Amino acid sequence: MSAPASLGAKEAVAGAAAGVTGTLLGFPLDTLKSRMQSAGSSGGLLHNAAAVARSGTVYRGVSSPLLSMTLLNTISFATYARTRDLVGLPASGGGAGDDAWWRVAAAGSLVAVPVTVVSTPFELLKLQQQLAPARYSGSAAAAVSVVRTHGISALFRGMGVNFTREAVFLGCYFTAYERIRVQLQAHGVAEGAAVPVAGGASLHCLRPGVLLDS
Amino acid sequence: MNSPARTRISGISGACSWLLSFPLDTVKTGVQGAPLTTRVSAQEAAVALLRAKGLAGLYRGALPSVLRAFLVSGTRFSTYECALALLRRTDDAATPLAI
Repeated sequence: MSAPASLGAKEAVAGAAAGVTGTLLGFPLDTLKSRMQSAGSSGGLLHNAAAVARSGTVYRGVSSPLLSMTLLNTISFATYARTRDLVGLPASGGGAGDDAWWRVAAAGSLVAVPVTVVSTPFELLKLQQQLAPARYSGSAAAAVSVVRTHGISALFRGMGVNFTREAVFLGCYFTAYERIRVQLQAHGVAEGAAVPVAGGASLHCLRPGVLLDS
Repeated sequence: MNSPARTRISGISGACSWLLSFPLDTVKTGVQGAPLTTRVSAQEAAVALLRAKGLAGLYRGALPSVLRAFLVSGTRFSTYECALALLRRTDDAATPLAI
């Protein structure tokens, strides 16, 4: 069984709407993060936030995550259903015994394999635009310019470190999510909206949550 | 599972995952954000960053990313459920035989 196949068209559209909203709301903070990480940056959070706001380039590169988000979300869920199976967890979600958390972590980390192939070029295009906004006039122009000048392989620079990052992130994310969920359910906080969806309910209710990364 | 519970869970999970993987994200920014005329390896980016800014340099920018994780997951489920309710309502209205 795969989670996306069991989802209706309306859930998919609603999921995409949530993804677009989240990406647009979160992008200024993402640009701030990238600028603070870069080698030449100095000063504190507010100083950098003011500089980013003044530059008028807060949303440079936003079309890259907007384009890749839905694809990455679908890949994540289709893969997570299969990697759970691979490490011997029930396909319907949840159900990890006390000794099986390493399995959840492994299933989550393995999701990084297909995710990295897609996320690496989109992340590169996003970062190039965030850190050198004057050089490109949009994601499509950036893609053409990068490939023409440096070849297709340039789009995949940083794939090794991106894979490690995705594996750590997704392993941690799925483990934390499933663990906290089990604890909340044990304390009677959780059940409710998950019941009507039945079937692959556990994966179903996980679906919009995984969009976090991007 | 109710939506405030899911919002909390995915917010906390996202923030934890960002914190844990953040140094790797910083090295990735060093590699992918550098001018493409110079090819920077992950190891070179990490060493240059540690020399220039020390261990703290690996966590510069972590606060906005954690804030973003909460902002994004905090709005995601309400947007998702709002959109779904709208889509279902439209459908019900257009389908006279709906049970």
